[in-house]
Amino acid sequence: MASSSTNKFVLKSNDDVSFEVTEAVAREFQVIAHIIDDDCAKKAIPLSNVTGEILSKMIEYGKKHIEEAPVDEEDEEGKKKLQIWDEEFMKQFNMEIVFQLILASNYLNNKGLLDLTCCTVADHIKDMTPDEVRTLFNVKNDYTTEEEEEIRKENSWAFE
Amino acid sequence: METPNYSSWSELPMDILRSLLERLSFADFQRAKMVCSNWYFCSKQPLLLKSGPPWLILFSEDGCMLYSPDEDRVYKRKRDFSGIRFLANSEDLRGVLRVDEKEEYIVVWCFDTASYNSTYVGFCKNGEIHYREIPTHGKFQSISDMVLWGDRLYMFINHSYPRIVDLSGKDCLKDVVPRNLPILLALERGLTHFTKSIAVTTSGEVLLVHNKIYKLNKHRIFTLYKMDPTPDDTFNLVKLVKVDSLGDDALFLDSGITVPANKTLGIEPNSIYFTRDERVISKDPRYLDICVYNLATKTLKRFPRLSELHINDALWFLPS
Repeated sequence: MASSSTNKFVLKSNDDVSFEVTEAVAREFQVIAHIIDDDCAKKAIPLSNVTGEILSKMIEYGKKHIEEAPVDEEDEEGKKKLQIWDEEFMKQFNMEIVFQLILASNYLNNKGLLDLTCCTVADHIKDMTPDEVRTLFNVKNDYTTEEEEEIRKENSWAFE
Repeated sequence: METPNYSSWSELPMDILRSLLERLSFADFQRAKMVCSNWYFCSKQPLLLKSGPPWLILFSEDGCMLYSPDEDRVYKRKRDFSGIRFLANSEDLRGVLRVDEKEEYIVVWCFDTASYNSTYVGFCKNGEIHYREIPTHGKFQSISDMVLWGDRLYMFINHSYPRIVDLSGKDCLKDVVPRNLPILLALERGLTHFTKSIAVTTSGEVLLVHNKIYKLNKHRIFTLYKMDPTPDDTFNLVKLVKVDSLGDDALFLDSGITVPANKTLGIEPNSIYFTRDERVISKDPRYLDICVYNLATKTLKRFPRLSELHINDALWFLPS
């Protein structure tokens, strides 16, 4: 078997966009790693839940994290560099894309990207009122006035 | 699967929503519950909430407030306590409470009894309908500090020695160490104030905390000691060994316990989070001095914002 740096796989999105990646990059996504291990990866690997747009971004993230992986636990400089890249990487997306990245990184099981995307959302809604969060995410307030008052009472200090 | 649209934020799969809520700060998390019923439902599931930097709960004439030193922000709560009956609000009654992750609790109360010149101590666990008395060893046994750690109650008797009682048993209460020797103490002059309290480390070791204010420069200095396991032969007293550092732990002196700390959590390692002296003995607000003491640099960090708030009492806690 060829080494993981030369061995190539093709990932195919649900809108028929194909990406050729090295085995190492493919293995960044645990679900794909399992497919490879089970030797089911003869041809292109179809990913029915991910669009080409999102998949290309995920591969970009996976590549970077393979190429620039910190040397070891002690490599503070390497970790810092990657962290700065992560922050810049996320800045290009609106919340719609972030949402799809969350779903896709959960589906393909990449913990790093799931962490990163969730943190981006958490940072984004920092200090927002519930109303502002609803507007941002277009979430409908499904509480009755009484229910809303009841929950507000639980932690009234957080709303002052 | 369909391409998700914006409206799906309220219908995120529970495990994803969970990892999202787990990343919110304490205050953001409380607000997120309000967004929609699905988010509220998820907030009530067992979550691994990130433990943030320590906060203060402040008590003043007007009620209760929360202070986040990190944001230098005061959260006032408007809730009134009219529907709540206070069990005890006496000057003489003191208590400690410990609630664990399973919401099981132990509460310990004590008060001085004038007739015996000693302290009455009683405790109660959840599920029990009566208090049980913890027998003191006779007259003139006053308790100067108490710490609840696990199922054990650590009492500091007569400012002189710690006594540890195991509260886990159903019937009889056992002293963990059968006989306690007094601690050998060197006298020190030039102090306006000297209090001793006890604390328990994450590994269960007892620490003695000396807290001194010097007359000349009004400096507050904390010193930590542990007890030498071999007693001094001549006087049959326990010797103290100075502890220079708490390592990566921080000491919360209000509850008398240490917790693992690091800068990313926002908890200062090798520090003492302090609010007041004599917590178990006196409610005098003059003893209040809210600060964080760094053991390595021997410096204090205070919070100027708090001086405007007319506080009677305060407690450090870790929001989660």
